[in-house]
Amino acid sequence: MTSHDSHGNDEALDAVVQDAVLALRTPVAPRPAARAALTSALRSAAVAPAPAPGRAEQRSRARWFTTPRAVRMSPLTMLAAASLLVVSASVITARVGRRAAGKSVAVQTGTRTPERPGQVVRFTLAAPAAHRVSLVGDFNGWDPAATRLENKDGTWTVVIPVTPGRHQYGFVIDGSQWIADPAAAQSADSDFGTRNSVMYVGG
Amino acid sequence: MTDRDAAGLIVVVTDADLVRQSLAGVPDAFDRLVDRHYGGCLQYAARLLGNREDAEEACQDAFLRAFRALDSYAESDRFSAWLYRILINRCRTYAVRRRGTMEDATDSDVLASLSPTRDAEVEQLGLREELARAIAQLDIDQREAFLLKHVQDLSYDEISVITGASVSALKMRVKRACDRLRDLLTDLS
Amino acid sequence: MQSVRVFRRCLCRFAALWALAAPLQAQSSDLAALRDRLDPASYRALTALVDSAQAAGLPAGPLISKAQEGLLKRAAPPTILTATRGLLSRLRQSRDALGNGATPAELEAGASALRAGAGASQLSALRAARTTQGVAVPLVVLADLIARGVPRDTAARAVQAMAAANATDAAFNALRLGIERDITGGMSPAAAAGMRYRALLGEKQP
Repeated sequence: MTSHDSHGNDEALDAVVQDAVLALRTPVAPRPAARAALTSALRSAAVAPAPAPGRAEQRSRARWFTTPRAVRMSPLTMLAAASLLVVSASVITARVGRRAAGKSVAVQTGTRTPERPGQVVRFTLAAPAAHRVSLVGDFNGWDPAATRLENKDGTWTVVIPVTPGRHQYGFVIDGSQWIADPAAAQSADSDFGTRNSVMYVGG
Repeated sequence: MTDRDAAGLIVVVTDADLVRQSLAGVPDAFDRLVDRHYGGCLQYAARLLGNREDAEEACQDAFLRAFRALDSYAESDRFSAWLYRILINRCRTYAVRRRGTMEDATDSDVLASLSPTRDAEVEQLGLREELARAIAQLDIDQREAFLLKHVQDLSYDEISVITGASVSALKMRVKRACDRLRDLLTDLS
Repeated sequence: MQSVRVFRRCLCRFAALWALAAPLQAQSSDLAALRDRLDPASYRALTALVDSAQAAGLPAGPLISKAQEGLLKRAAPPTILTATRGLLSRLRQSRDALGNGATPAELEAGASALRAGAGASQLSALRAARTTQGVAVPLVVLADLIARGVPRDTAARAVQAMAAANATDAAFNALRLGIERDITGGMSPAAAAGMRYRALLGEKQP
């Protein structure tokens, strides 16, 4: 057995140390009781944050789902979040007036994390003659049954959360016709003869 | 790393996604992070400390601290590296507490988890205890570096980011650990 | 002696696989869902590619996603396999260039940068310039710039200069967006790239 260090050099381990490493690599099975104690301690920490480390007291399980959470933000973060909402509102207002063959509008909603807000994205396609429109992409397994758009007066829309990063996507019309997003700023070669639309989520 | 949503679709959920969800108050998001990393953390802690009870406590401490400090996690960092930094500090605290008793630790649970490398039963038992004792005799720096490199299988760069030690210092520690282990394990008299 | 070595190798692989068990289960069911959509030989070939990726510690999700895309687009199975094999190869190259510590996101971003035309040496240089932060975002930006028509070397120089100056992920994204706007506005890609990254680094324009 050899291992590679960061410069790609092999470090040959002799037989004795190899045996030891193999033995040490066997997993140590977690005890359910210890795992449950950790879960319980985390629940308690969520409800009543306590500074003291070490073994948490065994308390009754907190009402996790219904307990309201305090969102802590620095004033700077609050200002940034407020600015983001103002910018988003003006972006939406500006784009609503535009008529195009299709458009996708990113609706940004911020969470308390300043660097990477969670992203909810609206996809829109004007396709008055279509009976069924699906959104497909690398975020939903390219499955036309996954994300159906809703039709209102010939304009099809869906709003879904998308993880930050670079994504390829497109639309499928009536289960058989592939169409890239006409309003996407960028497209990419897909290896399959079609071009995919590309979007960047998360800034 | 993949989830299925309600329609059975593949959705990739990264550690950073779960951190974000946890900070946003999504129930069980942090639990899912724990599920991903608990086994690895426990293995490291148990091998370092040679004692299951201490390892479980160190892991619990580490995850609680991570939970409380979650808003200080920067997504440019790998979550596992950030978590390991917390864990090895906790483990060091426990290791220091136990100094002087480490060589006597014969936690049967931890020993039983060491897989046999020879067929003969007597040799199996002898080797397991020998191995635990040998690991315990390493300096904490060497033990830490050796386990992170050869058991957790991290690169020197990753270990350097986690521990703050230079790559060259880490290589020296690992080499010394290997030399010492070899000496201890081949000295069967 | 030989058999002992083989035995040790098997033990080592077993222990490594044990550690990967949970995410592998999710992916194996995703892969199994494709069984009915491919002929047996193609499915076996796809499974072998996924197994190779997993054995090499590379993310298998993108490979499965590539196959799903091909099936959606009714591509012929040989085409799907070629595309998937190509992606696996790029993931390997990405890992060779970025090192064993690269995250799945970095590996994927590296693979797309390679697909766009970046060189492996450019990936390595980026990793070397940005040691304490991830390189996923810079790589995505690099791929994007090249795809938009910025000459490969110009794009690499811009991204490398930003990395060397400790630019944040946000700055990299600002570069990408700015160049996009400039190109849409009629500027040549090379000029847009040159102007934008110098501006972000606070350098005087020529």
